[in-house]
Amino acid sequence: MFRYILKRLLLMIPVILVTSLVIYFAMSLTGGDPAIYLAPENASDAQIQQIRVDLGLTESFPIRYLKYMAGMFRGNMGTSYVTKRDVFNTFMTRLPNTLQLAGASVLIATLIAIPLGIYTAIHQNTWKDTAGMIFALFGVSMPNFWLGLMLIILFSLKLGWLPSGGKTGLLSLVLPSMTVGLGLAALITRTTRSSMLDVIREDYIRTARAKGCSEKRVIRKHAMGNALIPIITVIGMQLSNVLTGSVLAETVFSWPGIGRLIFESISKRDTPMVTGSIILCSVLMVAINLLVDVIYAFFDPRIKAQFMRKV
Amino acid sequence: MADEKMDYMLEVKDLKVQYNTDAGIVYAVNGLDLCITSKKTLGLVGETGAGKTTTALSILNLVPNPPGKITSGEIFLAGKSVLGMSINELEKMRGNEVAMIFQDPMTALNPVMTVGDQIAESIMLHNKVSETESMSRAKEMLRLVGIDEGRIHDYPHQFSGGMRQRVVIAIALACHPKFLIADEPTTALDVTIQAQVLELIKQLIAKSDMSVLLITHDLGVVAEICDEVAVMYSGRIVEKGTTDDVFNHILHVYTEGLFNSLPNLRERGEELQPIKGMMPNPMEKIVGCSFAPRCPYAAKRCLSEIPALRKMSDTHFVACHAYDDKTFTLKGNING
Amino acid sequence: MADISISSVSVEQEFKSRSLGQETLRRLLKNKGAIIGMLFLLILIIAAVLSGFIYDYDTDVISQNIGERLQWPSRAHIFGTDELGRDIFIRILYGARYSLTIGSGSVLIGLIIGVIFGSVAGFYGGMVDQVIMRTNDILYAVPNIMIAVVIVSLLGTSTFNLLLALCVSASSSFVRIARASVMTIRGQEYIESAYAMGLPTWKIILKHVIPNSLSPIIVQVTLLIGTTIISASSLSFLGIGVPSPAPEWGAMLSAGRSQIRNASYICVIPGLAIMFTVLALNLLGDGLRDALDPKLKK
Repeated sequence: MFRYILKRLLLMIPVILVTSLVIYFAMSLTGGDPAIYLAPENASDAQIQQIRVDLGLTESFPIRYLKYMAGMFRGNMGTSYVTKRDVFNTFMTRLPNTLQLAGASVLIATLIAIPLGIYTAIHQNTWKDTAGMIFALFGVSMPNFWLGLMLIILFSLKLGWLPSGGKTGLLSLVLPSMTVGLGLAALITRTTRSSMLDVIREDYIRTARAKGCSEKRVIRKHAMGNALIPIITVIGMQLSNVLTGSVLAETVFSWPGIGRLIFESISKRDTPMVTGSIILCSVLMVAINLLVDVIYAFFDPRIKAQFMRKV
Repeated sequence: MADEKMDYMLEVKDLKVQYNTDAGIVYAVNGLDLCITSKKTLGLVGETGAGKTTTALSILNLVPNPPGKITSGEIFLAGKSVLGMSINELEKMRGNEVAMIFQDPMTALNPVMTVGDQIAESIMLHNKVSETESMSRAKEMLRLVGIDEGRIHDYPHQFSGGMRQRVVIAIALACHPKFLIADEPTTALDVTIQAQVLELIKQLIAKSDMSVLLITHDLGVVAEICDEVAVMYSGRIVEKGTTDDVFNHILHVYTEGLFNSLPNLRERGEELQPIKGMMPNPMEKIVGCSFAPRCPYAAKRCLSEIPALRKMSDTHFVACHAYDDKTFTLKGNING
Repeated sequence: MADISISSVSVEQEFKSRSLGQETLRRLLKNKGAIIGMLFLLILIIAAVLSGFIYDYDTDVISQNIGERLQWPSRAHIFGTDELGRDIFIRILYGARYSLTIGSGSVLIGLIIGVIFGSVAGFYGGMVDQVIMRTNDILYAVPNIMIAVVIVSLLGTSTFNLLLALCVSASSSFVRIARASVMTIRGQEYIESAYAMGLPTWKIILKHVIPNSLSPIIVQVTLLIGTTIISASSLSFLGIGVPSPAPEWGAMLSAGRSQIRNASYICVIPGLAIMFTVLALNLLGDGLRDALDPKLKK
C-alpha cells in the first residue's frame, strides 16, 4: 500500500511539471512587463533594463521556467505587482481559509445528504421520497452564488442573525459554507438515493434477508457498505467543484480565500500572482485526488486488491 | 393431499402469488399444493418461468413486496403458519431453522465483507456466542464444504464460482437448519464444477437430518439426489410422487413430454421430440387446465375446470381430468 | 454428469412491437416532471424569440432611465426596475436569449468535438487513444469555471471567449461517452460482420456506432445545458462572462449586489429565472434518462 502511494506521489511530479509549464507559458504570453511595475517612478530606461536583467527576464524561456520552478520549492514564486508582497506567502496565508470553507461545506453536505438519500431510498415512491427529491432537484438547479445572496437577504438583512461578509469568527463561516454545502448536498442526496436503490436490488441483499438479518441490519451493514463506494467516488469528483464553488462564495461573502485571490489577481492583471496561485492550486488538486483515491481503497476491498497488485 | 398422520416439514396449500408490474399483473403461482415429509428431499421440477423461485421465496415470505404479493394460500413449516408470523418470528426462523441457497453464486455474496464474516454473521444472528467462537465455527463450516480454513479472511471476488457456491452453502448450513431450500444451486456453474458441488450437497444431506426442497430443471439431478419429485407447470403442480413413481410410472402428459424431450445420448440419430406449443403467458389469467392447449387428450372439461391433484396411490398424485376414466393410461408410457 | 435438462421452448411474451423511439416517447410522456419541464422550456424559448421582435435592444433593454430607477415590482414594471432605471422584466426576457444560446450552443459544439475525438480514440486505440484521453482527463477534471478563467485571462472578456471556454469543458464529457460506446460496440459481433461485408470504417461508425450511443448522449446533453447555463451566469457574475450592459442573468445579479439592502428584488428575480430554467432542463433530462433506460426503477 505504501509503495503504491509513493508511486502515485512520484507520478504527481510530471503532472505538476506539465501543468505548471503550460500555465507559465500561457501567462508569459499575456505578461505585461514586471520591470515597469516594479521600477520606482521616474526610473530611466537603463534602470528599468537593469531591473529586467536582475529579475532574469532577459534570459530564454526554458531557463526562466526552470528557475521559477526551482524557486517554487524554496517558497519563492515572485512578487505581486499589486500588493508588492510575496506570492507564495500570500497564497499560503489565504489557503487555510479556503480549506476551512471547503471542509465545512463538505461536512454540511454529507451530514444532510447521506441520511436524506438513504431515507428517500427506503421510502421510495412515497410522499417523503417525492419531497426529498424535489428539494434535491431545486438544490441542483440553483446557482450557488444566488443561494448565497438569498441567504444574506434572509439571515443577515431580515433576521440579522449572521454576518454578511468577511471572516469574523465561527459564525461568519456558516453562511458561506451553507452556500456551497447545500448545492453539494442536493447532488449527493440524489447520488445516495440512486446508489441505495441499486444496491437494495442486488442478490446479496436477498441472501442477507434469507439469513435472518433484520431490515435495519440489511440497510446498515450490507446496503450502506456497498452503496457508499459510488457515493465517495462522486464526492471525490465534486471536490474540484467545491473549490470553484468556494470562489463564488468567497466573492459573495468577501471571504479571504484563494478563490477570490485568483479572481482578483486576474482582474487586476497581476501576472505573478495569477501564475503562482494557479500552479499551486493545481498541485493542491492533484494531492487531493490522490487522497480521495486512497480513502476509496479503504472502502472497496476489490480496489485495495488492485492497488496491492499494481505494485 | 396432506395425510394427517404424516410428519410434514413443509405444507403448502393453494398458494397464489402475483406480481404487479408496469406492464400488467404476472400470475406466477396459481394454486400450488405441495408437501415435504420430514427428512426427505423433494425435487421441484419445471421449466424457466413456471414459478419455482417464487414458490421458494414464498416459503420464507421473502417475495419482494412490491411488486410481488401472496394473494391467497397457506404455508406451514413444521406445523407453524409462515404467513401468520410476525417479522421477528420470520427473522428468527430464516437462516436458522430454514435456510435457502440461490442460483447465482457470483452475486449472492456481499463483495465488501470477508467470507468468514458472512458465515459468522449467520451464526451470531441466531446464537449467543462471542465473535471468536463464531469465527472458529465459521472455519469449521469452510472445512465442511471443502475450502481451506486459511481463506476465512478472503473476499468473495477472490473465489471462483464453484467455491463461492460452497461458501453460500456454508452460510446456509451454519446454524444446522432443519429445512434447506436450494434454488437451482448448480445451474450457473460449469458442468464439471456442477458435479462437484452436487456431490457435496448430496453428502451434506446424507450426513444430516435435513428436509430439502431442491428446485431444478435438470432431471438427472433429481434422479441422483431426490426421494420425491413434484412437476410444476404454469404455477401449479401437475404431478407428484416418489422418484420411482414419476420416473418409471409417468401419469401426466407434460411429464411424459419432459422425458421425451431429453436427448438420448446412447441412441444418437434419433430425432428430438419437443412438446408442441408454448407455456401460457403468465400475464393472462388461465381458465381450466393450463396445459389443455397443448394436450393431445384434452376434453371439454379441461377448458373450463382446473384439475385438482388426484390420489392415484399412497404416494403418487396427478392433476388431470383424463383419470376420471379409471382405465385411462398414457399411450407413450415409459416403463422401467 | 451430462446435462440432460429439459429442452425448454422459449416463452416469448407477445408485446406489441414498437420502435425504440415510440416506446421512449410513450414512457417520457408518462413522466409528469418531464412534461412540466418541456412546457416551461417551450414557453421560455418562445418568449425569448418573441422578445427580439417586440422589444428593441437599444431603447428597451439597455437605455438608462435614471428617473425610474429602483422601483419595486408594480403594474408598470412587473419585475421592477434596476439601478439604472431599466425594466427588469424586459431584461429577463432578453436575458433568456443569452442563456439559452450560450448554453445549448456550447454544449452542441462541444458534443460534435467530443464525439469526434472520443470515437477516434475508441476506434483506433493505442497511442492515439492515450494522447486524447490523457488530455481529456485534465480537461474533465478541471471545473469549467477554472478553464473559463484561464481562457478569459488569456484572451479577454467577451461573449465569444465565454463560449469557447464552455465548449472546451463540454466536449470533455462527450469524449468519454463516445469512446466508451465505440469500445463496447467495437467488440461486438455485428460489427465484425459489417467489416466482413466490406463496409468502410466511417460508415460503420455512422450507421452502427452512433445510434447505439445515442441514449447516454441525449441525457448528457440535456443535463449539461443546465450546468452550462449556471456556469455562464456564474462567470458573468464574476465579471468575466458576457460583458455589460448585456442583460445576462448572472451579470444582472452582480450589478444588483450593491443594491441588496434596499432593492433586494434585483438579487432575487434573475436568480429565479436561472433556477427555473435549469430546473426544467433537469426535469427533462431525468425524464429522458428514465425513458431511455430499459430497467426502469420501480
